[in-house]
Amino acid sequence: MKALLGLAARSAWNRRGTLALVVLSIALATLLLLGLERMRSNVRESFSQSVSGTDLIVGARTGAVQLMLYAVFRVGGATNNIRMSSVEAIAAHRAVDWVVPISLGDSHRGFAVLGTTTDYFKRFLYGDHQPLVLAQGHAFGGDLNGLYDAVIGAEVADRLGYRLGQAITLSHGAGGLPGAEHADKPFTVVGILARTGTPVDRTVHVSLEAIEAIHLDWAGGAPMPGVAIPPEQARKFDLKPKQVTAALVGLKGRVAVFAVQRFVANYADEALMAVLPGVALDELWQVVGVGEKALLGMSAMVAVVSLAGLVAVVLAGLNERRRELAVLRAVGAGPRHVLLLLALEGLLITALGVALGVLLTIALIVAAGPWLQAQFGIGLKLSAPSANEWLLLASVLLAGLLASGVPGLRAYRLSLADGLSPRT
Amino acid sequence: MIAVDALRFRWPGAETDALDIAALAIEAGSAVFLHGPSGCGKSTLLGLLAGVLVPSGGRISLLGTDWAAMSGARRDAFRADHVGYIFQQFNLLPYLSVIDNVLLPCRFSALRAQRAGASVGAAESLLARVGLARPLWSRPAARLSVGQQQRVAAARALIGAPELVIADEPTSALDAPLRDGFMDLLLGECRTAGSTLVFVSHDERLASRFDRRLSLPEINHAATPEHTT
Repeated sequence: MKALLGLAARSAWNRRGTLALVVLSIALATLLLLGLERMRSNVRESFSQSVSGTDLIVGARTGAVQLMLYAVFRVGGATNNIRMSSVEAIAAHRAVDWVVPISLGDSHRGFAVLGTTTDYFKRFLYGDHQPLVLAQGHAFGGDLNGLYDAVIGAEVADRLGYRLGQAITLSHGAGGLPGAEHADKPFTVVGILARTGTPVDRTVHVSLEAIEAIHLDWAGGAPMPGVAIPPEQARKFDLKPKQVTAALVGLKGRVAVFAVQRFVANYADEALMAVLPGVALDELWQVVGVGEKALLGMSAMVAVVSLAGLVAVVLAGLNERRRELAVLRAVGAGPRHVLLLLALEGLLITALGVALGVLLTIALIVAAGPWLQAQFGIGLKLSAPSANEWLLLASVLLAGLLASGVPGLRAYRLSLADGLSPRT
Repeated sequence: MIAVDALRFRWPGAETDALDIAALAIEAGSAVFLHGPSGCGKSTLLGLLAGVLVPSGGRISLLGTDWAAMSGARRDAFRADHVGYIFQQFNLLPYLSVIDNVLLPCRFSALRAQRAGASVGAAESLLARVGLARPLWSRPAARLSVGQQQRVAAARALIGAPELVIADEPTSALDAPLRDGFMDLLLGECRTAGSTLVFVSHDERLASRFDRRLSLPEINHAATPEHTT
């Protein structure tokens, strides 16, 4: 066995030119499989880490996934706002501990702007019930003195190079439209949050009153012509918010969660809904799962194709090696040794391909990880392979061994038929 | 040493026998010259002698053991232990070094490895005796000339002193001076090791150097010579 492994390795090395291409194609298939699995599990992890300690998310009636996506992940948009009076009514429910209203819609250079109350920094938890921590500065005060204060996430600070005291202007909507700038009311960065690995890192936080103030002289998504209210004068208006996008709700006890959900759903004055973040995420995974399975299936096909390449290359070379097989027979190798030799050769090539694929995956995570994090907020982490990843690697190896059985059996039959005199 | 009794062999699908030998005995330590025209069944007989082919009828035994009585795997092991084989050409695995080619039988036979003692040392002294210069020993076999390759093949057939050495026209690719040198060393080494040599050739000028001369057409009673290999 050991003798055969050495022979297989040296025989393969002798044909390294063609076999290197096979190794490369197996490596790329492995990269695809591993990369996809790593991406899938890391995305799921980062999503499920994004919010914790919030029992319900309340918004205008829409899909549970959609509400979750825009309220927590800043993806998509709200179909409708909800009245502040409704939020207050929910807050008054006896089972409700706290309510943090949030207002979305504006942006700053591509980063979402979130209007909220000072409670947000106390109540919002992520990961394993970790609170938000200010790396520098302080939260906005919630009073009129700090009306134009902003607290930015770590990613915003890093990407834009912002420090405390930086003046920023907000854009209406997703930004990019000319004239849709709230340039007349600049904000000052007063706090920078420590990195969380959640959408909070990519968010600019201001007070709900500030959101009201910058929209005082706006109507229907555009500045009102001929009306301009300077920032100082805005403080004299009633800045109490009338509407918000959604609200995060914490309960006194988990037991009441369905009662409160029903209370919200049956709220008479407005069409509202409340979702449990965990349930909404599960729903999201069910939707995404179909796509994931399709992608995994495609990658598996790529792996099969690359193994078919292995079979083709080894089979094609077999005829020229009939002399080699006869020599092996003459020195005492049986047809089963020949079978084993070919199987070992295939397994060796597959193992090399898989090893190279693992290295490529590591290199890709190291090289492209920061870019993916910045661009899409997907944090790819370098860690020991998970059970699923081991399973994928083992499947590729097993498939390689099975595939090598094809040229192995062919060689077995050739060496039985040829004996010592190959008919080449 | 070798005993043949009412041996018949027919290729699968053929209508007549390729070989039909009533009786043949070869004594241990002798050097036998086997000749005959192309297609008279020489390679078939060698395949039977080496236990790669199994007779359709009768018996062929080596060292008192009937080849047909053994399982396929057992025959392979028995061949590895007791038979050295030299082909006409292309004897060596191109991807192994010269010395690894010589050591190949020791990988498949513990007995040959044990008889060779320090295998690498035995391989080196054999290579020295067949006249291959030391710098060539670690070279890939593919880089040797044909004459050098045949000498390496002889060293491989002889390592671990197998009881039987079979040579299938080993000199046909060599020119006259190379051929004579090769014959000298093959006969000499077989004598030294005490190995029986069965040497096949259609070049009858070589016959005088052997203890015994056998004409295959004379002992093969198979009627038609067209079913051959």
